[in-house]
Amino acid sequence: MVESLFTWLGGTAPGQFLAGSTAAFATTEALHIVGLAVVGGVILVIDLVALGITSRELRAGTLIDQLSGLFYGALALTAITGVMLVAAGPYKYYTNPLFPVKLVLLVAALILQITFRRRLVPLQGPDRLSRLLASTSLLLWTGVVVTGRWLGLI
Amino acid sequence: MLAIIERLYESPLATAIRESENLFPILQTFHILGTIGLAGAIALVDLRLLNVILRREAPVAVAHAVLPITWVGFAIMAVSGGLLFAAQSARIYGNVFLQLKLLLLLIALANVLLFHATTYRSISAWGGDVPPPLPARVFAALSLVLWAGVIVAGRFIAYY
Repeated sequence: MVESLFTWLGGTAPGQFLAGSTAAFATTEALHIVGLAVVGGVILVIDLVALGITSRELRAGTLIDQLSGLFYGALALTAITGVMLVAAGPYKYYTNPLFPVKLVLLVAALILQITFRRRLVPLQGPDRLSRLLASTSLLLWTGVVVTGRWLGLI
Repeated sequence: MLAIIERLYESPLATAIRESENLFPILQTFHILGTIGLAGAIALVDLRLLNVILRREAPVAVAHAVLPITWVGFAIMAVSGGLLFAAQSARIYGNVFLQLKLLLLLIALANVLLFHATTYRSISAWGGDVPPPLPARVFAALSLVLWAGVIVAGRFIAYY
């Protein structure tokens, strides 16, 4: 079932095109990193404010609200280019043991970001729970980037 | 110039990185983490100066929350990038995308320095009903384009 999804992805027009064009593949990778940089920037700013490290003028709760548009936009760019990169070489990812690890870390990071934190980060400033959530978030996103980089190496 | 690159390439540290199985990808991982911290955080300041995001927060407050991240990101990116270059220097110094990336990086850094030496001095006055002045918005737009260019050129080094 999962294998047929990868096979189908590889047969799509973008998959075929990217598999045959080094320039298009590299451009897609570059856009993936640009999107990831913006996602990472948003996460870093929010989490470090929640930890009380970078700024005491700003509140993590209001930052999350105001940055959610940018966050989802950049996430969409990263996700779309990510699926396209998989489509360009689906079996490399299907057989890669790190790929499911990256996806699990990503889903965990997103669940933390989207569901819990909107409700839990208090507007008054850092407390114990928001610090714990922020540290977990930083670890999870770092894990996503690290596994993503090593995907291509094993 | 060639002699310097040759000595860099043959230096013990560069040779150790080149010959190690894991050091190179470990440095690449730090390089991408540093780049994300630097470029992603800078993009937030730029987008605030362009009045795209965080309109309820004063630009100076956003800058204070972001600048420490950019410094740490820059340090990680520069050290890991320098080591990655040293390890491959003799092979890739002629790479057109490496040269383009370094050029864009220099312009991006000049852009930051010039911004901080000029318009940035009045950042405390911006916010609320006072939008960032036109020069600040030009610096910000240039910064977004330049850092995206650094990332794109950087990714292309590996392929050409």
